[in-house]
Amino acid sequence: MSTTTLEGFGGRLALRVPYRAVLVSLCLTVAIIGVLTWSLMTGSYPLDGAQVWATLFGDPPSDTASTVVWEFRFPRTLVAFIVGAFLAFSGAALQYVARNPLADPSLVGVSQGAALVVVSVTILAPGMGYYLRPILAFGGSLVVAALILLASSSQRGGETLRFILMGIGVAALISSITSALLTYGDIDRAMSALGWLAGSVHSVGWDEVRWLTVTAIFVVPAFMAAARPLSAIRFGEDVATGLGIRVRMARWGLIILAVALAATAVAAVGPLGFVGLIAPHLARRLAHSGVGMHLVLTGLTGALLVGLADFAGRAAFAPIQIPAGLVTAIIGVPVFVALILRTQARSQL
Amino acid sequence: MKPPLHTSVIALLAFSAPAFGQDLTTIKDDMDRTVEIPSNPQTVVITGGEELVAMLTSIGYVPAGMAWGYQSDVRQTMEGIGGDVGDLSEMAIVGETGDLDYEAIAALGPDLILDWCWQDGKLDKLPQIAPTVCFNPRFNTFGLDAAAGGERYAKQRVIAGLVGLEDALDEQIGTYEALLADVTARHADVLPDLEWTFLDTGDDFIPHMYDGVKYYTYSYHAVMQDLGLKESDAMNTATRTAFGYDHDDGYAQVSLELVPEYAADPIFVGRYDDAPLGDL
Amino acid sequence: MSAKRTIFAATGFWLCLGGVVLAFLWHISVGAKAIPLGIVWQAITAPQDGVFDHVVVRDLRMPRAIFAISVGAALSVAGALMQGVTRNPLAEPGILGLMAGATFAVIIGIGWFGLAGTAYVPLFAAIGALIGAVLVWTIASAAPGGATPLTLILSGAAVGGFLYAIESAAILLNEDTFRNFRVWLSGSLARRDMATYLWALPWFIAGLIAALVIARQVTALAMGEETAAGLGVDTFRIKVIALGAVVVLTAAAVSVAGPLGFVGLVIPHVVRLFVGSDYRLIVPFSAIVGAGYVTLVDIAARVVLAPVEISTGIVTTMLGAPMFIWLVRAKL
Repeated sequence: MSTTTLEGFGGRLALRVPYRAVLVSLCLTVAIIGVLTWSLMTGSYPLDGAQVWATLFGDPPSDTASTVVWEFRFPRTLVAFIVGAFLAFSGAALQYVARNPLADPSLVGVSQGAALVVVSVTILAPGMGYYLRPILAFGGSLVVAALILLASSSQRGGETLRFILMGIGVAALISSITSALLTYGDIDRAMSALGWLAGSVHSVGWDEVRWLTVTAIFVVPAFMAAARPLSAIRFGEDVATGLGIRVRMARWGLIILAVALAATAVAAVGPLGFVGLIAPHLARRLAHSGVGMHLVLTGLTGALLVGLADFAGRAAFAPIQIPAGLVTAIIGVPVFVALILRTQARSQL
Repeated sequence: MKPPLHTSVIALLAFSAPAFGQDLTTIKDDMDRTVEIPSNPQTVVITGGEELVAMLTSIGYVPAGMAWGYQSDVRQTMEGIGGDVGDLSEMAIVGETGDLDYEAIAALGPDLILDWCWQDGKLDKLPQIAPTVCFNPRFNTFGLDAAAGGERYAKQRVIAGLVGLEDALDEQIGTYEALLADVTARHADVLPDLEWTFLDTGDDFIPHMYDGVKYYTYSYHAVMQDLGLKESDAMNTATRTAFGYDHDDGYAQVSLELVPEYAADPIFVGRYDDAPLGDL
Repeated sequence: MSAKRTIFAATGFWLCLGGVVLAFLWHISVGAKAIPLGIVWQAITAPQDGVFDHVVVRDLRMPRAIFAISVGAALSVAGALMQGVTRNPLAEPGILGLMAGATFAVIIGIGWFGLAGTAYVPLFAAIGALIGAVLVWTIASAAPGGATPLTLILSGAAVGGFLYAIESAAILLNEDTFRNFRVWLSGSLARRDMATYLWALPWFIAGLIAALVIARQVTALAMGEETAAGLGVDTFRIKVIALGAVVVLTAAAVSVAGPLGFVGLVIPHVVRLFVGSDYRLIVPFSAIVGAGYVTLVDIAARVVLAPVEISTGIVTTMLGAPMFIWLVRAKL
């Protein structure tokens, strides 16, 4: 990893930072394993620690125990982690590209774009394959992202803030179209779309794990490769151009990757708000580091956040399950507010 | 005095019979799936389709669990659909039909699951817990088999057969047919000329049902048909043509202003507690 | 104002008022059921018991048209006052958290105190709107750079998102209570709840009168604090009254129709295009044009997909969000 060169830009603490970052990422990994264990042990089906342990290591006390652990708890927790990491990556990329600390897939309309497409398919063409969802969601999100970027760019510059405001406007517009579709559609399908819209990992299975993994295999390496342009874009287009990076291409490439990750996540579990916003900031507070390491930390933080949100939503009011999306919103907004309070309003209006 | 050995062995066998294998039979369900199910299921969970619960409770079988809103008044609704529902206090609620708590279902240890099977992804998971039989509302022809050329009460017999309560069902059918004969005889002069409409009142609108599926009319449709009433034209066509695409579940929100267009001789404006025979 | 402008304004006012009356008549003469104009007229002038078409016009359509007019006027005036006092072209009860606060308070009121359809609905809505406004304003003011349009909108979005998440959880935890409020939550005029409207009516009137009374000072405030102070305006007092009027109007509108987004944003801008920057004109014109606008939107909501009705709030958002986007492009 190109940590040392990146530190050349970062300046301070050039030698100590990687240590701390590595340490933090280890801690995060341990925490994720902790949440995984905790998640595997808890649920409506009564299983004690020893039984779960036995099930995991090939000696289940009963067939049902095996089903509960392997088919229900495991994929659900894995999907929560993967989706969290995806959204966190997506948020980080958007924040770098837009040079805007407040960018998040759900704040700039990308999640809503994916949601609109998935709801349209659910309602208008219910027979259409379950497996096409992520691809269609990607298309929808991409269109919305392009719309927002085009609408917010202008000869006057200062896209940064408009980007967010455009996102809020476009998100409102798209959500209203989604609501209209829900009114128009069959009540049964509308109800099932509504459940999905709340952002819930309750009913995912190995299928979702599978296609999320496939996406990860294709997108995440590309994403990591983008660390270099990212680190340059961070300091402005001039610096980046000076370093020989084709800024326009890098920008669009990163946006497409960010949208692809967010759209896949949304297609799997519905829109989960604020994860992409919080995770990069938390990661940065945990350890200053170069872009590559920061992305790793961001991914881990996102995974941990959604894993915890799902767990909390399940445990807080059991047997009623609060969708993880509501939990992330409730946790995320105070962080969002803190960010508004701290962010230097660089482009005063 | 110790009981003779063989008695305890038999008792033990009988007691634990469901645990180690019992007779299996195969059934073809509404989704054309061939399912192997126990011929004498002990614990049935219904994860979708409250009318299935209503039917079973009305013949004296209370399922171990059903999917429904956690805070909703299950009992009231069941009474609305199925009349006398018996004691539901033992019945567990295992999540909502679209958002099941699969672990809660597994915790009940069912040996048979009934579902309407139209929601995405359910069939990936339910069969891992227990054999799952689909009664799809799109094909749900409760009581309407005769009109479709099938055997009368065929579906009910299948469901009652699943829990071994054919006798109770026959008794119910007997009561129903007697009532039917009585009403038909007493009102023979008017019944054939009547048209009927069913409107369900929502908050501000009338969800309107038509021919596509009889599901939302629960058993009303069958009763009307058995009484020899005609469905009003409005119910079948007016709404259907008003949509850009076909609402094949027969459910739409229709303005209250249109009530007179659905006018038929009996209009049932249902909050589920209108007894159709009472309105006649 | 010169005499000529006064005449123009007066003419325009009466024309717009005529437009609202026409919109009202149109509103009550269209619907899922086709009723000839003659019968509509008869229903207004000489209603007969037992004639179903008359019942449709008088009991189903007229209350709804009246709700639309009141809500449209209230939200537009609230938006105009907010834009004037905060000098923020994007200010609006929905965007700045008042509507979210009011909705949240009503949900809590319904869930905990079972107050559906009582006199307390507007009161709860008002308390909620006030808290929402204060919260958004406090967060935005504490941000570096102070309460700019940007920070206000961001904190509005934050507060709105937060309250929405809690509302959704509350609804999930108590489905039976809320089953009937799904429609209301999406902003609908279809509640036909005359009782709530009558309780909200004094609030509408009080808010509109307050807005008219302070219109002159708001014009001064819109030119800047110093200008206003130089003109002898007690800026603090006017701001407090304006906040009170905005809260009262939003509360009344939300308790009748639920949250209707972007009405307060769109109308004052449109009005300003025609009447300039004098709030003595902007306020009354916003009221009239807003009333007509929501009435027309409600017609569309009922007719476009007839016999299915879309929630009015969905349509106002569909129409208002592009306006918001355009404003961001043009004014920021």
